[in-house]
Amino acid sequence: MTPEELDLLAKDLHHEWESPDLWRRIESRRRQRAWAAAAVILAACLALALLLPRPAAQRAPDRAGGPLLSDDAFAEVAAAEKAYLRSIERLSRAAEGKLRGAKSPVMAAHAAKLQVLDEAIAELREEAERNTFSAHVHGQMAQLYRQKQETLEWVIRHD
Amino acid sequence: MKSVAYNLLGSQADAEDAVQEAFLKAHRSLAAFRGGSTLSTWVYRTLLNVCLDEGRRRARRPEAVAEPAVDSKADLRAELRRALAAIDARQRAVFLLAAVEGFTHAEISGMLAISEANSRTILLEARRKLQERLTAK
Repeated sequence: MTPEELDLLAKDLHHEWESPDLWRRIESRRRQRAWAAAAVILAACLALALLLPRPAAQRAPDRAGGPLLSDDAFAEVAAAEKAYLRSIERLSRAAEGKLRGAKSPVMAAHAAKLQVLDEAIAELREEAERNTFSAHVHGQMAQLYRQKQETLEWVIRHD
Repeated sequence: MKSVAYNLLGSQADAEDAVQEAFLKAHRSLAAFRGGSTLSTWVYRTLLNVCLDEGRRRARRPEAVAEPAVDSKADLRAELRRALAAIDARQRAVFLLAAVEGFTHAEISGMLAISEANSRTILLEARRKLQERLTAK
């Protein structure tokens, strides 16, 4: 067999078939895994919240300072969160068009990731209302804000 | 993508599973994508890794795809598939990407994390081995 004959025969190995359900399967599996990951994070947060020393938790409501966030630290955290929110709001406006018309699977995946992040942020906000001075909750919140910021920046940079 | 996976794994169902897994893995590690290659090259690299892992997991050569022998060309295709199943996994991958799917050596080098020169030599070696096997029949 000559190299040319081999090349011609090789091209015949290309095989295509219709898979109308494949994207739906991928999306459904992705959602399942995202929820499973969120559940693990939530369980870890709850476990950590339970492990926080009780006396510190009791001191938190009167804002008298202590091992959680002092008044000054809390003010700094609140200011940092406001700065994140301003930045995210600005980035969201810039990314809005691309996300609304997301056609490519990668852009659609980023839109879905942002949705998951929003849901996680909403859950943590509720947690923050219950544990206003918890450094852990605010740390988690900052991480989620950073992820959202990075994801929005990625969306703005790519087509 | 499905065609690459099909030729590496030997069945449409396995190929679709591999494509699904590759997209999920790519999505999970999107943050690690630094733009050193194109996004499609990167997703293909993930797919090839999934297929190679699956091949290792099975700890056997990919099954030659059963093809009804309706004409002499079908016979030849079946022989080529058997010959491909018998060569080294990396040679098989480079041959499938270059000769079957038509990717350039630049693209293959990105997908398999090898140099373009290496991709060329691997392809030549794969061709030589396949020719030997097909001529010996």
